[in-house]
Amino acid sequence: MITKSCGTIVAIILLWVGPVLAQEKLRGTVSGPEGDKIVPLPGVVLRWENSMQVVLTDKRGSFQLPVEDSLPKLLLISYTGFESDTVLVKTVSQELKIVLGEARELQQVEVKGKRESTEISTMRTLNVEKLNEAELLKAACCNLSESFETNPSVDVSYTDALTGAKEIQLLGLSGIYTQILTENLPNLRGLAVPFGMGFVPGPWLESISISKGAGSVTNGYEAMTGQINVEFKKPEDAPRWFFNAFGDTEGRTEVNSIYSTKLNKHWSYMLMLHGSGRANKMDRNDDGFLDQPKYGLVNAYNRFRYHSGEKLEGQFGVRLIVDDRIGGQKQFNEDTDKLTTNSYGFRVTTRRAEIYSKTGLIYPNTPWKSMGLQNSFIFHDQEGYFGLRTYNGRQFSYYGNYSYMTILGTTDHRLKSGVDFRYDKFEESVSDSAFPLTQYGPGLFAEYSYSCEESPLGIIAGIRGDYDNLFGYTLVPRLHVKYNFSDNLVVRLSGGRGLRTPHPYADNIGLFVSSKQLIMLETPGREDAWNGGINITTRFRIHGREGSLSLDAYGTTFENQLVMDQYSRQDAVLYYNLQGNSTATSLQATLSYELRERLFTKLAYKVDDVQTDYRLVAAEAKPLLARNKALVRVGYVTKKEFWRFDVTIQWEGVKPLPLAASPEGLTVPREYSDDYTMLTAQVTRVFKRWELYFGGENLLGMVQKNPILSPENPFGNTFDATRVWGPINRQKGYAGIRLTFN
Amino acid sequence: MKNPINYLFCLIVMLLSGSSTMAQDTLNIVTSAQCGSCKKLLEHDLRFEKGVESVSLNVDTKVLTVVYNSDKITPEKIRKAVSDIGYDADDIAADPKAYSKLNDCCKKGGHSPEGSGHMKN
Repeated sequence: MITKSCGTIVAIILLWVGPVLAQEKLRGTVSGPEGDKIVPLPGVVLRWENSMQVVLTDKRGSFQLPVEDSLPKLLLISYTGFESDTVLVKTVSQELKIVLGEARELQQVEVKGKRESTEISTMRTLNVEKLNEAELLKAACCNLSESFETNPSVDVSYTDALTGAKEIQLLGLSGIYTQILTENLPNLRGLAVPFGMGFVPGPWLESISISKGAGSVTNGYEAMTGQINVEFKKPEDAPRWFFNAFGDTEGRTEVNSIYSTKLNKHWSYMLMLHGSGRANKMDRNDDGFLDQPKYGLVNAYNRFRYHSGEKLEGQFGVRLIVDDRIGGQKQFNEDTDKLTTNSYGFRVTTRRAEIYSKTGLIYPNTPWKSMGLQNSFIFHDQEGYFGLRTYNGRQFSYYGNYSYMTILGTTDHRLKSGVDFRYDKFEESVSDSAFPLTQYGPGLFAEYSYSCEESPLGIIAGIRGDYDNLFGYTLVPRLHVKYNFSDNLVVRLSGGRGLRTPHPYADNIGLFVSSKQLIMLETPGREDAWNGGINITTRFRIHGREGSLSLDAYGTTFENQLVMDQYSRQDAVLYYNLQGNSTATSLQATLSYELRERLFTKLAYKVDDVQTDYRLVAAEAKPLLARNKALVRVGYVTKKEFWRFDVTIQWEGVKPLPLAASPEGLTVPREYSDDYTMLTAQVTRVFKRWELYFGGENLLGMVQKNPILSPENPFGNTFDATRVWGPINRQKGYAGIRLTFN
Repeated sequence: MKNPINYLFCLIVMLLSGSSTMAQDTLNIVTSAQCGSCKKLLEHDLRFEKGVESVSLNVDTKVLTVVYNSDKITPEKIRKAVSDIGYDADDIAADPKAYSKLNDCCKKGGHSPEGSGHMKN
């Protein structure tokens, strides 16, 4: 590897001492070598020291820079390919002629740019990890849950061995405690928890921001362990048409199409379409059950954007989703076997509509003031059965949010305050029992933030008060503080409260595919938790290449939690409100470095310690959660970025297992899973208008041997498909294509 | 599956050792680029011109830095290529047809001021 030493600019400065009377503007020209000649340089950036005002040289290399205060002052000159230089200017009476010197090989340094696709900022107050489009293209990322599969902060696992539902975990706790936002509107709540992440197609996404710790109060009182905000591609800056097709060796196929157009001066429109499915039946582990359900998913999203030009902007969207999945035993025939003991089958059919509007108003004369109104309506209808159990649900949700942003004195101090209102109506039924629930209430929130370019300190302090028809009044405070000890070292602290209403069946749909009974011992209360954490991020440069080290320590303590107890009885899962303590501690270290030129590496290690007091066992570790995890990622991009190679290795330590289903007594010692390693790799070839990618998942082929207990007797009392701790599928290959038309 | 890690490792080592050095020139062009979207487009498309080694646009200064192999391409051709994508390149005006196809945010002066924070936060 060649380490290029940085040369210096040889600046020849011709200064004449002129009259003392200062004039308004400094005038001059900048020139430099191009080939063998000295030519005027356009686009050279000039500014006074300690000033933010920047001027550029024009095509003839000339510039004019207003003089703000007294001379002499340092003039900073920067130009791509040259090291920045300074000139002491004593007077402005004469034209300044600057000649930049030879800059052999210097350009190598500048043109590298930033290619790290996971942005870890040292400027933001919140601990946010942003996965941008480049990051999302590194793996198949067919849908939202899969896009976290190569991320160290968020864990993804199957909820069970049959339904294909995937659950995420952040800070060691289930994804239900993380608030999911689509473009800053709460989404995928309630009945959408089990399959909802699969309804968000990866190719539609522009970025995903993972924010750890208590979230912003402006989006509601949920978000105990964090917020994940998903941004879709935007009509105004997307290519005219984008098309993607994908297929894997397990029979899954997907197509995505994104069309955007400008309707007129103010309106732009985007139509996003997604269709996917798996038609074949595959049982590679010969347990008589399909490894993955057959399914079909259609997803259409119409979005409009309005820009009045200066004052008003708006967005409206309608998204429609139909998902149908069917699985179970290979010989299952719905016409003859549904809800009978002929053979075991399951089917879940979901229809969902999301409608939203967002409008924002800014005052052209006072651009620091703005107001916004957001409305979102969600209709969700789901019906299904699992063996002999039926499970149907219907949800209507409304969320409205009006907020006003202003500054307090200067733009360093900002205040966002507003009101919101939520309404949720659930009708769930499990076999013959119905569980209707209507919950609504208004909230008031205010969030103060302090940030100033010159100050190392950043603060976001928020508080919200809510009224709820079921739970009365609550107050939710949250605080985030960051301090930059230097440009390259930041420490962030966060803390706050989060609340959530549990939906025991939707939150744990995987538990239906077991012979265990589901027993609700009492009426679930509202879950209530405090989260606090610290993040230290440092950036460094070794051999001219950037790297970063990030350390996280977060803790969550529940005041109340709906405990899902899989340790106290072999024949049942018990649900009850927390008696005692329930805590989650998560420690994570992430090291990123460009090891060689364009060879990016990431190492992460995580320890999750989650303990809950169950009825019969105190301070027991959460089932199916590995205490220790490690991840290694290596990515290589060729010089012209025509090829990209990405490899991820993940290791998960042993996990405690829930009791295996059995009608017997309780004297069973705790069982643990094996640890396992997963290897994922992808190669992408970039052409001018299209990209080809192919890769493999679980390339080491490590699988859990018997993901289903007693598969031969699915209606017996030892049948259990919920004890899934590892990969169900062996090596899988996939290939896809992306086309872009401008 | 014997040992896929070994294969991948070999592949990466092969790719790394293949990097070579050659005589390169650098050209700075003032463009009419407006935003990050323009950056993406210019950097992506220009890379596919023969002789262009690397491309980087500074959105703040609108200066496009192109490292190229002078045996294969001339500065004139690079400016022409920028114009064909739809942007002014120093004295060369943007190709009108390509310009008309650009997204609105990439058109000259068409970049709207920062929207209200409500859309972003």
